[in-house]
Amino acid sequence: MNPEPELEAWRTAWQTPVEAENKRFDIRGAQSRQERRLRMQYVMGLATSAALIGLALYVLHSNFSIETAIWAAVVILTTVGATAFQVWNWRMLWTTAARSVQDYADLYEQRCLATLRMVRFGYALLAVQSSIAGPWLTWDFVRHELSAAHFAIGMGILAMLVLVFLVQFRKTRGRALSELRQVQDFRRELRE
Amino acid sequence: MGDDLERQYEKVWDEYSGAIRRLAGSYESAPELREDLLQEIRLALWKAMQSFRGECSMRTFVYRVAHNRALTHVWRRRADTVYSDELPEVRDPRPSPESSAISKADQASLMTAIRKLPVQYRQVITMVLEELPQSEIAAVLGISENNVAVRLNRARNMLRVELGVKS
Repeated sequence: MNPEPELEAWRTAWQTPVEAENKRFDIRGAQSRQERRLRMQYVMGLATSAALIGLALYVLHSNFSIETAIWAAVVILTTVGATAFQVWNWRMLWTTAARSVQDYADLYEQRCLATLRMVRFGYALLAVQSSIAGPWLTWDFVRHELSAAHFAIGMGILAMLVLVFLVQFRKTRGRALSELRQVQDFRRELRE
Repeated sequence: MGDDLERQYEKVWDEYSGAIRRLAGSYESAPELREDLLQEIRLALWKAMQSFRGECSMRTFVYRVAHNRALTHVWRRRADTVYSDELPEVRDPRPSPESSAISKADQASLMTAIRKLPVQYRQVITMVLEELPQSEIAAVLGISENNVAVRLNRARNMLRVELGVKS
């Protein structure tokens, strides 16, 4: 037989689309991108913690008073607490012994759950910090340690920070939930 | 930078996913193992794209990564791949009376037949079926065009035998 029609026939058969598999979730790629993103966030988190502790120590050193000592203690304690949680929560970020698709899916899922845990911790920490900072500013204002303008600016900044964090947490939670759904659908698809 | 790379990766994947899926199918018949290989290729591609500097065409690059990863996968699984220039043993080389290339060449039987070829012929035939020119196949595999032509000829003969087609 003429070889070129033969090749064409093979080509046609070969290129026939197979099922709708092309949309299948890329678990390894997604896991790798997730890992890169989370590691970056992790390092940035540690850097922010170091900066906050450094700032607290600097303020304490340059302007020592009972009030600054209490303020520095609050900042350092909450920062150390948050950092300890971060290190514990993301311990699986550095152990990637995944081999099979199943392993990758497990790891991906664990990291989604860790993200949700981090968001819950973030909400709690935000509540604690704003319930300290708000009354503190108000107390300073009542004692006339703070002018009305400074009090308003302080409360404004606090409200803005709370809002920014709430939006960020909401976004992060939404993303983690969507990733979680994706990996669960993927598992289901693999079982079928 | 990261977003650009991610967009580029998604674009490349959209363009070549069909071909890569077929390539994975030519190495692994079991759906789960095929999925494993596919994911390995995707990850390898994602990693390799970060250092891609346009030394060759994107298509050559994608096929090179995919074939290299597929080979690593096969070696790791210690598949009983034949590395020989000899024709493999075949069950029954006599074609049935009504057999023809077209009737035999549905995708599943073609895939099964290709899977039986030694890797060096399988690589060439799959790329030919993906319509890559011989010069590009040579670039992907790092061999001469003459060598590609020789392998293609042998691959076709083997495939005919596997499919039970009269030459």
